[in-house]
Amino acid sequence: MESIVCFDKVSFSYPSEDKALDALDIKLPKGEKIALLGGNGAGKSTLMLLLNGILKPSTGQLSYDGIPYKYGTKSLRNLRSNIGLLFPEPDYQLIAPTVYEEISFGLLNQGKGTEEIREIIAKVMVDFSLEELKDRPPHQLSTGQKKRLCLAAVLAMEPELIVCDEPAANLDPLYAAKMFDYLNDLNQKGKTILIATHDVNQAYEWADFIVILKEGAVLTSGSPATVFNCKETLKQANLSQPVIIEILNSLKLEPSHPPKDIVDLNVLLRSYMR
Amino acid sequence: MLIEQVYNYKHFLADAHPLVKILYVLPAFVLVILSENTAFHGLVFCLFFIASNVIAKVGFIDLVKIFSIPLSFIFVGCFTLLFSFENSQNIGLSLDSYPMAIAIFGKSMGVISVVYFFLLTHTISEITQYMHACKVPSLFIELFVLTYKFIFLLSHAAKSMQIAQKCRMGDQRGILNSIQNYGMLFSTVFRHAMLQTTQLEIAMSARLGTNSFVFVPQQRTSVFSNFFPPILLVLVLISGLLLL
Repeated sequence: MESIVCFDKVSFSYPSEDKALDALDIKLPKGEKIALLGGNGAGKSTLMLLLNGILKPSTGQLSYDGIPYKYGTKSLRNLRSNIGLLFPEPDYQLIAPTVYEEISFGLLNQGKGTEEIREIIAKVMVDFSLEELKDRPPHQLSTGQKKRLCLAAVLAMEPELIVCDEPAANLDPLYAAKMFDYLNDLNQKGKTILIATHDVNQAYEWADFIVILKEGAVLTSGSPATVFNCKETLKQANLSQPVIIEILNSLKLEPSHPPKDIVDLNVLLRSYMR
Repeated sequence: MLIEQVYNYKHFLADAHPLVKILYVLPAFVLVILSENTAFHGLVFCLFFIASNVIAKVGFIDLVKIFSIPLSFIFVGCFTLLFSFENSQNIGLSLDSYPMAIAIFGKSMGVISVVYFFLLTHTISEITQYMHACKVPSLFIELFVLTYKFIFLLSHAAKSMQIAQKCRMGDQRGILNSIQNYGMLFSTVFRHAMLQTTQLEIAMSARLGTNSFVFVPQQRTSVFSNFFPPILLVLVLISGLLLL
């Protein structure tokens, strides 16, 4: 499996705390939908900031597409163009006075020309249904609209790896589903998506690859069916099993292809009932 | 009430070029400042009040509300001009000051109506474009944009914290405790601002940002005919000034 980012014994400590990450070894598979899980303080947010080059590891090394991270200005520009970061709290991410200008910010920093930027913004605004809001100040938007704008602003930069910290945080079920639809579309276009979440059901249903962190190290990783089947490991990370796995376990069913969602589960149960 | 709360983003000039928009207000503003004709000030006030209602699409009640705030200050200021103090014994209203009070009141209301129309038809980004055009230092413009953003973020944070305090009956333990609570509220909001600044810096860095706030404004096209309405308005104002 080809990896997009590789963590090689990466450790990181904040000045006032113990180690946030401790000799972390992990390879993030390219073109996959990856879910990063773990309890509070497991190191998910630190890992995301390391991915984007905001933080520099105390020891160890990260590499993007096989090339080790460098922290010079030019190298960071290239890295951050390829790795987009979406924060859980949109108000901390939105800086421009209008929606239109918010999307232009990253593009301008990439050194693109004004005309090219205008073309990209026009396309992104259509893709994310933001045309009606173009003159609005971002702080006036609803949480769903703000999240959509944040994602649009990051994606306008066309990163290869999109890192989302709690993409569905503060969103109602409808907008959360829409957000994951956007992420699925991007994955269909070949982008690698990494999300950090506490929602095991969402992670099980959505992701192709699961990473569970505990105390700054990888507790387990692999396919959702494998990772979520081990109740004891999940308990160690303060997580529970997804509802679908719990149902299968309680019914003592062991299908060769475990269902991903309720519809699949329904089909499976009907086939057993026949 | 804040201008933002009544701002209608679908006003008639929403897609107009900033140059066209400024033609509506700049000549009127200069004429009101230079003129000493109270009737002309009244004409400007009426025209721009109606324009704020019709062109900026702001409701009549909302307009009355936003005008009432400066009106109250100006009224108090002009009313004090009417007082006369003679030999520190006779204090009363003086008719001598009446023309001056009326002139100041008229001019102030004229200027305010023009400024409100400007604010109700311009976005912050268009105002920064004017600032750039006027060669205002970029540091000042960035401060302007940041102040604008933080006013709303912090007022929202302060409101949420105040509600949280009230929920725990923080305002019902006497005046002294209330003062203490407000002190804590301000210090928490300040800490919140510091935290937000750090987060904002991280978010900017993630999108290759340096420390400068540079954006690409929307492109507005203008044809020659777009300039006719503001030119007509200027002609009406000049005629009004000459006739009144």
